[in-house]
Amino acid sequence: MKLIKRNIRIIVLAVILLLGSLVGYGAYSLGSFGNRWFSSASNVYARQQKNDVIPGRIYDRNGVLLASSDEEGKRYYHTDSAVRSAVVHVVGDSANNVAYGVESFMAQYLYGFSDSYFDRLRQAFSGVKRRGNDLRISVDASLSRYIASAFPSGKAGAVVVMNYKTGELLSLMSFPLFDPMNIPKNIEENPQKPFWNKATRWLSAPGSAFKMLTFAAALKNIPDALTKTYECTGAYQVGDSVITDAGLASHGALTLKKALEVSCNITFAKVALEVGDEGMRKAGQAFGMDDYFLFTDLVVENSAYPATNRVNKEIAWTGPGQSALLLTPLHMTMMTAAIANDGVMMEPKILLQAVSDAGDTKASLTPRAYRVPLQPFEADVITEALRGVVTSGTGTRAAVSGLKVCGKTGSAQVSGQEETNAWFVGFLDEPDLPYALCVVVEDGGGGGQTAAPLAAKIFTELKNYRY
Amino acid sequence: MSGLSTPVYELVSMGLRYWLLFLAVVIVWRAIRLMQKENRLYKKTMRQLPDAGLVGELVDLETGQAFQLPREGMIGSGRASDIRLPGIRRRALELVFRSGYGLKLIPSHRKHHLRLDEELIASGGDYALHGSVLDMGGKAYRFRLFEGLDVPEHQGQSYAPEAEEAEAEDVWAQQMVMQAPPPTPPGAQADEMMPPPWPRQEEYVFQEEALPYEDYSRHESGASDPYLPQQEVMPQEEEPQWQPSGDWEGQDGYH
Amino acid sequence: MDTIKQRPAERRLAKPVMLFIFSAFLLLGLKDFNWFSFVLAILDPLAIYASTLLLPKLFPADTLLLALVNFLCALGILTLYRMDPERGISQIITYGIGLGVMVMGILYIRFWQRLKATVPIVAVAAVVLMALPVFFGEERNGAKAWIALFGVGFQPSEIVKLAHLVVLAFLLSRRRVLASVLFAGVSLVLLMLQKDLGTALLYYAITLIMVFSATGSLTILGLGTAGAAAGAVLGYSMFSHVKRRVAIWIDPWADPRGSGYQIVQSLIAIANGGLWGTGLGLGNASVIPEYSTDFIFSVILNEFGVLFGVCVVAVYALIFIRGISIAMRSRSKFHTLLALGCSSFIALQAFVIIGGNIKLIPLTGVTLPFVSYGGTSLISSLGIMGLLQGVASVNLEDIKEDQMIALIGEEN
Repeated sequence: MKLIKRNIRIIVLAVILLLGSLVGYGAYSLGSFGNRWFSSASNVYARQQKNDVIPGRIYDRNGVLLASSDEEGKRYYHTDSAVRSAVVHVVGDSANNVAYGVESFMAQYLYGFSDSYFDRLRQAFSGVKRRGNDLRISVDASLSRYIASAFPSGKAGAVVVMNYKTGELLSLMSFPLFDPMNIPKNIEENPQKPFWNKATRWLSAPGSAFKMLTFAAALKNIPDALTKTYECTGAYQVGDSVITDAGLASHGALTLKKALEVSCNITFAKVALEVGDEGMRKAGQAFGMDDYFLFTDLVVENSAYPATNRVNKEIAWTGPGQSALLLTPLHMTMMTAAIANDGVMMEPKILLQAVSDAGDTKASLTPRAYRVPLQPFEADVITEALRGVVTSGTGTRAAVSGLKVCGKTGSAQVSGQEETNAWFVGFLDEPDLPYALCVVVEDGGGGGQTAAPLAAKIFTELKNYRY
Repeated sequence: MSGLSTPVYELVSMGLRYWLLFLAVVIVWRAIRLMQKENRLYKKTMRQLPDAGLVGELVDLETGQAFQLPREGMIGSGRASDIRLPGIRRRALELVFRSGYGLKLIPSHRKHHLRLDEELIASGGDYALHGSVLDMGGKAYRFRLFEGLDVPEHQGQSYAPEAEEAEAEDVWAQQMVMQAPPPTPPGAQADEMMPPPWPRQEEYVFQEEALPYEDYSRHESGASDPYLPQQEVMPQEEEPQWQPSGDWEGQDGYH
Repeated sequence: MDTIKQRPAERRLAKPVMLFIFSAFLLLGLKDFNWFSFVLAILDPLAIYASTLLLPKLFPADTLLLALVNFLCALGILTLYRMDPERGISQIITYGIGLGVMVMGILYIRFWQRLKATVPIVAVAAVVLMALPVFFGEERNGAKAWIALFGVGFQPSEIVKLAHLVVLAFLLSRRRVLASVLFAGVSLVLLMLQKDLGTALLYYAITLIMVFSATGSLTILGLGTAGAAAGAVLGYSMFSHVKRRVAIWIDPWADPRGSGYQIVQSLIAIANGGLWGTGLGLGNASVIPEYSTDFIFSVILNEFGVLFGVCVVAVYALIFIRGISIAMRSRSKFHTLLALGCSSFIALQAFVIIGGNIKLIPLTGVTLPFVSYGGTSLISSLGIMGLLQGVASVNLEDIKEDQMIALIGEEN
C-alpha cells in the first residue's frame, strides 16, 4: 500500500499543477487581451450598455472637441468635415466601421465601464443620466487637417507623426479618408479600403527606407563597418538574380554612410549577405519585428521578418528592403523614433488623459520604453548618416531651412503596381521639436520625389506651430 | 411582473457581487482550515491507535525483530515496500488479508523461492495463519496475527502451541520490537483515549443506544471481533453466495 | 446523548453556503418580484442544510466534501435558474435524483463485501451500455453519444463512468493489470466510435492514473503519455471536426461570427465580467451557444467575476485533495484506487472544460461536474461522489472500530 500511496503523491502534484495552470493562464490571458475582447465588434453586451450611458467627449491635445454626444446619445464629430475626416482613423466612428479606433478601443473609459462602484452610486444619486469619462488624446487636429490637404489626392497611403521622446502620436492617418458623419453608400466597394487603418494594419516591404536597419545590423555585426568600402558596379549577381540600382547607376566605392545617402542597393545587398540572415533577423527583432504587439492604446499588426530558410538572393534583397519583409508604417515610425531617441524605442501612445465628469483623472499618459535596439553611439552614427541623406543624398527634397532634418527615402516595388510605393521616414534632430514621421504614398513613384516633399511640409508645419 | 427598476436593480446587484464574492472566499477559507484541522486530528488519532490498519506482525526468527503487517501491502527490498527486507527481490510478495481465510501471500514473480510452512507458495497465493512460518531470502519468519481477527486455526505440525508461546515471550524479552507495542490490543495507552478524540464518536453512540443503522458493513476489518459486546455476531458470510468457476480471485496468471 | 447536535466545524462551512444561496436568490427575486425566487431563497438553503448536515446521520460520511459539493450544485442551480428558470427547476429535480444516486453509491461501497461478486455483471453491462450509442445513437455536436430512452435523452458514457471506476479499481487491486487495460481499451474504442473524444480523453487519463498508481511503473506512465500524444495526433489527422476545433482554438477571431462564434462570445463574456463580474442578473452570457452545459463556467465568470471563478477552481481543487486524503486513509487497495479514480475524474473533467472555456485547450464535449445542466452529467457526478463518500464512510467505520477495540482493550 505504501507503493500506491507514493504514486498517488505524484498524481496529486500533477493534477494540482493542471488546475493551477487554469488560474495562471486565465489571469495572463485576461490581463493581456481583456481589453481587446471587450472592444471587439462582436461584443453585444457593451453595445447594450452604451444605451444607458452618455459617452464621454474626445478632445485633441489642444482641447479641440473631436467627438461628443447629445442627451439622446447621438454622436457628433468635429464641425469641420476636413478635420473630422482627417482624424477619423484615430477617433473611429459611431458605427464601429473603423476597427479599434478610440471610440471602440477606449470604450471602457468613454462609457465608464471601468468606473468604480462609488462613481456609479454617485451618478445614480445625482439624478442625471450617467456620463462616461472624457478623453484627451495626443492627436493634433489641425496638423492632421494640414496633412490631409497636402497629401496627393486620389492616392492611398499613410502618415504617422510621433513624438520620439514620449511616444505620443500627433497624427495617425490612413488614406483615403472618409467623413464619419456622411459615409457614402458604396464606400465598401472602394478598392482602396477607406475603413482600414493602413498606418497600423497594412503590412508591406518598405523598400530602401529599410536600409537604415541594415545599416544598424552592419554596425552591430561588422567590426570595421564605418571605414569599410563597398564596390558598386551597377550590377551585382547573387544566384540567379541581379541586383541593380535605380536608374542603373554605378556608384563606385562607397562607405556605408555614402551608400545610405545615395541609397545604393548593391552595397546593402552585400551588407545583408555579409551580416547573414541570422544577423539581419536579430537586428530586426531587436527593433521589434516578430514581436506580438500588445500596446495599451492601440492595436498594431505584427511585423515579420521572413522566416523560411532563405537562399542567398532572398537574403541579398532583404538588405535594400525588398524580399518578404512585412512592416507597418507605424512600426517604421517607431524604428525611426528609436534612432532619433538615442536608441530607445518608445511605445506608441494615444491617450493623454481620461477624466470623469466629476473631474477625477482616471488615467493619464505614462510614456514607456518598449525596446532599446541601439546603443547611443550607434544611434548617433545612424543619425549622422540619415542627415547626410537629406543634405546631400536622395532626400534633399525633405530639407527645411533652419531645421536639422534626417531621414531616408524609399521606393518599394510592388508587383501589379505600375509605380513604386513612395516612402519617407525621418525625424527632426532638434531638442524642442522631437518629432519622427513616416509618409507612404502608394503607387506614388519615387520616395524622394513624392514622399520627401510632403515630409518637408509636415516638418515646416511643426516648426511654425511649435507645440 | 414588475420588479425593481433597472438602474436600482443594477446598483443593488453590483453591490451584492462583492458580498457574494466575500462569501465564496469565506467558504474556501473555512474549507481549507477545516481540512487542516481535521488532518491534524486524524494524525493525532492515528498516533494513539498504533495498531490501526494492522493485522499483526512478522517476526524474524533469528533476530526476533518484528515487522508490522498491514492489511494489504507488499514485502520487498525496494523503498516503497511496506515491509522492507534486504536480500530479496525488490518486489517479492504481496499481502492481502481476507477475513475468514487469513493473510493471503501472493508471490510477485512466477519463479520464486518462497515457502510457507515448508511448502512452496502457489503462484495464485496461499493463506498464512497465526503461527505460519515463511521462508524467504534464506531466513525464516513467523506470522503473529492479532487475536480477534477472523482467521482459521493454524494446523501447525512443526511447533507445539506452547513452545510457540514460549518462543514469543523469549522474543519479547529481548525487547527487539522495532515499532508498535505487542500484538494484543493495547491497553496501556487507553487512558489517553478517554474521551475519544475522533469527532465522530459523539454522534455514533454505540453500545448504549440502538444503532439507527443496524447493518454494519462487511469489510476487511475485525468487524466480527468477539470483544465487542452486544454486537450481533455476523454469520460467516465472507464467501460469496456463488462460486464463480472463473474465479475472480485469479488463479490464472499473475494475481 | 444528543445526536441532533452537529459538530460546529461542519456547520461553519454549511452556513456561508446557505447564506450565499439565500442572498443570491433573494437578489434574483428582486429583479422581477418573482415569488418563486423568494421561495427558493428559503427552500434551497434548507435543502443544503438537509443534504449536508442530515445525511451524515444515516451513515458516516465526509461532511466537508458534502458541503463543497452541495455548494457547487447549488451554484449550478442558481446560475441555471437565473438564465432560464425552467432549466433551474429541472436541475433541482435532477439534483434530488442525484442525491438518491449518491446514496446508492455510498451503500454500494458499504456493502462491498456482499456486492463484490457483481463486478463481472457490472463490467458486461458497462460495455453493453457503452456500445448502444454506436448502433442506436443520435448525433449531437459531432458526437454520436446520446440515446433516447422513453423520450428522455441520456449519455451512457456518463453512467458508465461509475462502472468503469469500480471495475478498474477492482481489477487493479488484484493486480490484474492486463485485464483492466483491456477493459479500459474496449470502453475507449467504443467512445472513439461514438466520436466523443473529450470523454475518451478523460477515460484514458483516469485509466492511466489508476494503472500507474497501482503498479508504480514509470514505463507505463511514459508509454501512456506517449500514447496520448500519439492518439491526439492521430485524432487530429483522422477526424475533420477535430481539425476544426483545433483551428478555432488557435485563432477563433479568424471567423468570429461563424465557427469561432462560441469561443469568441465566451471570451467576450469573460472580459465583460472582469474581476468582479457584471452582477447577478446583469450579464449577457446567454449569447454563448451551449451556455448551460459546456460554457456554464463562462456564465459564472461573466456574472460573478474572475475572482469568484478562482474560488470555484479552488473548490474543485479542495474536493480533489480531500478525495485523495480519503484514498490515503483507506485500508485496502480497492478503496484507495477507487477513491483516487473518483477524485481524479472530477478534477480532470473540471480542468478540461474550464480549459476549453478560457481557450487554454481546445473545446471538448465534456461538462462541468455538479454545475452544468444535464441529467446524466449531474447524476453521474453525484454518483462518483457517492462512491467516494462510500470509501470515506468505510474509513470512518474502520477508525471507529479501532477506537472501540482500543477502548475495550483498556477495559480488560
